[in-house]
Amino acid sequence: MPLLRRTAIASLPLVLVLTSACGDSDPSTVETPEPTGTAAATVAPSASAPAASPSSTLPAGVDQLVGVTVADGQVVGGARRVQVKKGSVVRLLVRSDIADEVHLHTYDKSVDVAAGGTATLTFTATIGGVIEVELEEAGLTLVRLQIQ
Amino acid sequence: MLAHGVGARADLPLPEGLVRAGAAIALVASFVALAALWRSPRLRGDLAGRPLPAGLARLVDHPVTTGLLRLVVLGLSLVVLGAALFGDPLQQYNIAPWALYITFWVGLVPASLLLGPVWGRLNPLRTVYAGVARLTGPAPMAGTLPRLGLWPGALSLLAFAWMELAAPDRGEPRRVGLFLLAYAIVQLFAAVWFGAGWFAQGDGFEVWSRLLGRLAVVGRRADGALVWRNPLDGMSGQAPLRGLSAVVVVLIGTTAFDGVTRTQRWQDWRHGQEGDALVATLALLACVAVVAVLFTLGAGLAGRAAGRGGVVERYAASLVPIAAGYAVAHYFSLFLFEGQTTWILASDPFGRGWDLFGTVGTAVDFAVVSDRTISLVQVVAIVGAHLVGLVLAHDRALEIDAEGGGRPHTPWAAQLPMLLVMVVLTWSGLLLLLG
Repeated sequence: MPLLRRTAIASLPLVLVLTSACGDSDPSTVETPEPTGTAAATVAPSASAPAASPSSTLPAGVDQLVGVTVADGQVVGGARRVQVKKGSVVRLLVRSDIADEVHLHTYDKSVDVAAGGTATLTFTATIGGVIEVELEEAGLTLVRLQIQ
Repeated sequence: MLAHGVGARADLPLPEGLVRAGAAIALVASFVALAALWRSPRLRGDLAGRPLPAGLARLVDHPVTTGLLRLVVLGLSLVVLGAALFGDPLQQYNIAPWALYITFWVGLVPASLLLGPVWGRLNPLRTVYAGVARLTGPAPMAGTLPRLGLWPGALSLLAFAWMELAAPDRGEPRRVGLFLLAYAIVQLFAAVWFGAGWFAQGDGFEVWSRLLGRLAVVGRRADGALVWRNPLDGMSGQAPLRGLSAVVVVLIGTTAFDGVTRTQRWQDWRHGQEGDALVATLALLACVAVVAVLFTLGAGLAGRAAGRGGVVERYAASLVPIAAGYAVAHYFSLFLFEGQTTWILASDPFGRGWDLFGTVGTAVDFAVVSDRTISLVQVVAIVGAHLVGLVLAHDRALEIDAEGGGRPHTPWAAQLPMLLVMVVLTWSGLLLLLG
């Protein structure tokens, strides 16, 4: 499936995970979800814009986007560890096919996500460490943010 | 969810340079120590130490001091138990999981390292037993206690580690309450059979506190006097009880398991099934088994090199510092950060809307210590523990050699296996912290 996946990245008008110009770019954090109106409205980088110059595609005041898709009760691609620069403004985008609550541990911030919807959670990464983002009811770890 | 019952922040992976430096120091120091340290046994165990000022010793040992402290600790324990069973059902609003897993279990390490075997003095189970014993009379099986050694303590520590690191819903207050209740009942029944001496051998918390307490600068001399002493003397005075190695192996193995579950590799492998208690249980036991095999092999070879048997438990005490180093490295930040939660929730332990200490609604302050300091403490704890263990093992080998009865003049050959065991444990400890 790798070929198909790459094609999907190139053609879909949605790249949920972008790293900021100053952050480390980790190719494994690129999600390839199916396009949805809600998510596309939040992040709409054009497919032709390469990830190398993502600064123009970031919403104002946001340094890094971290996206996760939950399908059939699992995180697509598994829960990864994403590098985050301490002090940067991070926006989490969680697309889920089940209704639940997205919980950013330690920072103790939560946001509800509707079934089939996308939740957005923006925060400043002031606390260092490896922090879990969890789908609370399901007890599913979505992503770990390595903030340093 | 992390393996540890509460808290969802893990320390950053250690910087590779720091790990390399620590690993190199541990290795080099090991062989330098072998060549450069003293040539005949020096540590004097429980004979060493200078007495504390008489007034201070009297105050510390006064029955009223002990009685008051015990009453306070019994009261606090009952509050925690009550909160666990009847307080807010959610972990984040209930003091019990935080008090048990962080303040008590992790806090026991610095408390014992600084003040000595505090839990032997404060153990609320002893306080309850003192009352129970009046009804039940003399313990029928007290005579068999020496034969059990520290094995029951090792088992109870393993049970607690399972609860803390692998059990399903281990962070839920009601589970914590049931565990505490079950633990107390089992311990009290055992004490009725084996007498008050049971707790020093069968209550894992007291066993751990007593072992750590030997590394404190204050201790009790063989003649009963409270003394300032060299922690090395204190540790070397630990009797080679049966099962001492089992206790140390359980402590190191279970902390290592906690480290394993924080690595990327484990998390990738377990993704989506983090709640699977069976796999966690098996992995926990596997970690303990690996350390057990390693230690038995090392101590066995050491005995062989010395040309005599019966040395396994005599080397076990030299691994206590390593167990302590692992504990500090793994739980130092948890204690400083999430440990604040206990204090925050203490204002309203039963979820009644109280605010006894004005801490309700306070957030944990994550700025009390920096990421860099945490990394440094972790490496220093593991490498420092290695050095202490090394010196202890060195002296023990000389002592065994000086007793004769084995192959003469072989303390160096006899030390080598244990030295390698320590290097392996120290390097593994550092590797696990690379995340």
